Amino acid sequence: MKTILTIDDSASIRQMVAMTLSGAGFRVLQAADGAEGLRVATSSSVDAVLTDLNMPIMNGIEFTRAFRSHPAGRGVPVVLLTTESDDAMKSEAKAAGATGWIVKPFQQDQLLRIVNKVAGA
Amino acid sequence: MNGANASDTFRQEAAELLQSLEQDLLDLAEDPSRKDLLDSAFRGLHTIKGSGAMFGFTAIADFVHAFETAFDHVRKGRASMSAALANVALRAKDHIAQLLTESGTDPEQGSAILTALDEIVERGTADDTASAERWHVRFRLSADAVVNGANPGLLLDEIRAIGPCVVSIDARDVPSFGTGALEDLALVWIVELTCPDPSEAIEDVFLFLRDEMELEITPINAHTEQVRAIGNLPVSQEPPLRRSGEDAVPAIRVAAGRLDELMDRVGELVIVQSRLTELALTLRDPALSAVAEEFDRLTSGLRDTTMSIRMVPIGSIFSRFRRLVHDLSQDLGKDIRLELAGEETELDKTVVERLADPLIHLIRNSCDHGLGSVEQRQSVGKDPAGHIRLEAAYRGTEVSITISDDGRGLDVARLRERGLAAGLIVADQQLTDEEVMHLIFAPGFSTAAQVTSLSGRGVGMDVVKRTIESMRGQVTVASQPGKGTQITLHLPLTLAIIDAMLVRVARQDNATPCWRC
Repeated sequence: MKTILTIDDSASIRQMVAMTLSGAGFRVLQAADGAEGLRVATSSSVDAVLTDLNMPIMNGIEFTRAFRSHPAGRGVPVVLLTTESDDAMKSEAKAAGATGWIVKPFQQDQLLRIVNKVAGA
Repeated sequence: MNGANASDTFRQEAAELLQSLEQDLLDLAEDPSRKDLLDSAFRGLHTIKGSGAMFGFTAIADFVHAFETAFDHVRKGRASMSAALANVALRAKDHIAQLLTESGTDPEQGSAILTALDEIVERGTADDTASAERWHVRFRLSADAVVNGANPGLLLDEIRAIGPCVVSIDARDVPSFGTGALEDLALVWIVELTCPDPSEAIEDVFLFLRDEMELEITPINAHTEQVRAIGNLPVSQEPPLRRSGEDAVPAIRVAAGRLDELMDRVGELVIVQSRLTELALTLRDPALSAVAEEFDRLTSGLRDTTMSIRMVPIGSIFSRFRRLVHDLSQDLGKDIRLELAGEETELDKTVVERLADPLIHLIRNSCDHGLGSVEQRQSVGKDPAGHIRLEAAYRGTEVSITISDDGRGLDVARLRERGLAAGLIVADQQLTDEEVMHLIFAPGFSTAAQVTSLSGRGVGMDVVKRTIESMRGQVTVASQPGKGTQITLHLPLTLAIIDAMLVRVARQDNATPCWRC
């Protein structure tokens, strides 16, 4: 069973993501900000991370950069949830080491498709 | 983010994509062999279609889908790109722009464009690749793709799901042990895929990687088989084209209205600051003076920063002139080349916006009259293609914009005649050639008498001059007979806040702007 970590300061988004993914057979871990996410991601083995972009304490880009520089974070897919689809954000995310992104608002099947794509079914 | 905001964002985004689509199509009309442009045009369309459907713009999504299908034939090499195709595509782009504005469009217009598009594509269909069932997909991911979470195994699984395939690798670029970073990816994958049409599916596979990777999809037909049989010719290693904006500094989008609001507030603040400074001077209180000075320094800084936020590159309006010249050269039956320079020159937003109409008028004038007809050009031994150059540059505290053509120049004798007839000058008046040329800006100088026949949109040269002068600018004209005409607009860098000198005359306060002090 694949483990996915969802990081978002909005509890409702976390619940939505967790519900969608566990319904599809994934194990889901949750964190409310980048710093907490980093602790979870580096201490338990995860197969992919879905993180919000704008969060207090440590935002999605900072999380990605920190996670990538940690040995546990090399090669683990990180997908950013963002409301902006502009290229500046994408190139910044890419430079930080993000694997992909989902633009909000998104449908549940879109989310599932992307997670299957980066982490495998 | 609510639905209304999202669709606004989509509109804005789509408008920008259409802009760059237009540029790509114009470039393609000039050089139909640029495959990189075709790809970038296609990507733009794809994005508009995808987000259009998501935000309920189904009319756009449907139209773009049909447009995209026709274009896809070209992209896969089943039909060839041509100037005619680029022209129809430009019309299609205009139609999408209209659909975006919500003001109802004629559905027949849309289907007429699609029919024209289909016709051209059908005509250009090359037979040898139309039935291709086997494809070569050659790809190389960026060196850090795997570290950043991409999994080539999963990607290949996705390709296998498209159709039966044979996968091979090209390891020529893999460094010998110990010379390269172990995690860096240097493999090239080559997949021989059997299926009707993999391009769209392949794009989907590389959704997040497409911008940083190399990808080639080529049909395997008799021709390529032959090449392979002759000898293992290296596959072209051309790097994918990068857009110049790639290293763009992160930016945020702000509604123009908010900027204006900010400017207004800063304007008010500057006024309060001056009052405070006045007060400190009158009261001669050292503590108050210190605060006033500090406040003065901060306000000036804030004012400079705010003004710089309002500066936009003039290239934002230059790009639309390419389309104008393209259309005019078709309408007038002339071959006209437009050269742009200094697009990065920045001017106040208000100035740039108000410049568009005068520039359109000047360019139309140059195209229509300035350049002369093809026959006339050939008769004096000139290149039959006319050249127009639009150049912006900084000159001290102002910006100059020059529109020059290589046409026949202004006929000073004829201008003088017309000036006399119109009663603008008197017979024995001593005038330099330059003064005579300036007659074209006189309000009474009728369009018929003016050395142009294309009337524009009711904007005459006098209106051009008035508009420029209303922005504290100046217009100058220079011309050499047989060589061409240059019209230069001189504009101040900004209009938003200007320093003024207060003068009290007869108990009345007057503010005199300091820009010429």
